[in-house]
Amino acid sequence: MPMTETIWVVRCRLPGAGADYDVAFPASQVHRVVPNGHHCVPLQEFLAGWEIDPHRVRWTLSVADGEDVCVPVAQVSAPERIPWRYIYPVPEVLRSWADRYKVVGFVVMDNGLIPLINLAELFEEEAVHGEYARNGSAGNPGSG
Amino acid sequence: MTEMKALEAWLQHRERNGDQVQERPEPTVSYLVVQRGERYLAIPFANVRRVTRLETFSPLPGAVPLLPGATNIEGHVVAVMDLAPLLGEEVLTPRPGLFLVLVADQNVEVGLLVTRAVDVHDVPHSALKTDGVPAYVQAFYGWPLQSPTYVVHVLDVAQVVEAALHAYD
Repeated sequence: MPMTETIWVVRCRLPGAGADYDVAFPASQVHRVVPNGHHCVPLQEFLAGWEIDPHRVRWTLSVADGEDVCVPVAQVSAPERIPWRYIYPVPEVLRSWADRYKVVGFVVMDNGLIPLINLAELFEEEAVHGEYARNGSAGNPGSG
Repeated sequence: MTEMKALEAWLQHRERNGDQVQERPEPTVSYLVVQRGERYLAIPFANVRRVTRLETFSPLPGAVPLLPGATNIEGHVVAVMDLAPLLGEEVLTPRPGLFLVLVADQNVEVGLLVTRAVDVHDVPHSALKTDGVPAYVQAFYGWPLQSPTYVVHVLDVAQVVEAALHAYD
């Protein structure tokens, strides 16, 4: 990601099976946000570890133009501009976790820490190794 | 008095008083004693960076039980570590009011979640016993913190940090 003084981020709430998780994506990497029901392939590998509850998915974030890959979310905010100085680095002991989920840092919002995820990198890895690459089968987690 | 005369005087003094060399007190190590659930833990004070109350906690998606989340301490992200998997005990659910002991080894920091901080104690080496306990937890028994005697487990912070670093392997 280009290092500018600020970054526009989209904050999302992922409906986990046990707890909800707030995450942020660079707004530049979110192609579009559409209501759930849109035909798309969720980022399976990514979501597997997060135990998304498909019944609470309200929106899907389209990752790239021409690619029906999406991230299912419960809530999504309007893009917010965040100075990079408010994005804190990942501590050493969480480096492996961050590498796995492409977390580039933590955004401090509402007194909490929100992982900022490099969605493009996640998508690239998914495209190479993930379910999408293996069979490309479509399936919206909330459409059933 | 010249240096030579001073030396002679000292030697005469020593001759008169024999070799009564005063025994030095046994070296001690300072420990921060904390309580985690029912268990008392002693953390080498040299490894302790800070003790604070847990004010906020952000659970991390896909996290392992050993490192369930993170917190913000004055602009620094600190990984919160629950020792439950290492100690074989019940999970300590992070909530405001619990304490966080920021420990470090080789400049790698992690925040240990504990119920409360008890005190700092200086403990002689001879009080430590290391037999029959896991490698990362040494134990010494019979250390009278209060009456009745508590059992306190000494935490090997290097091993704890190592476990944290490999939590996602």
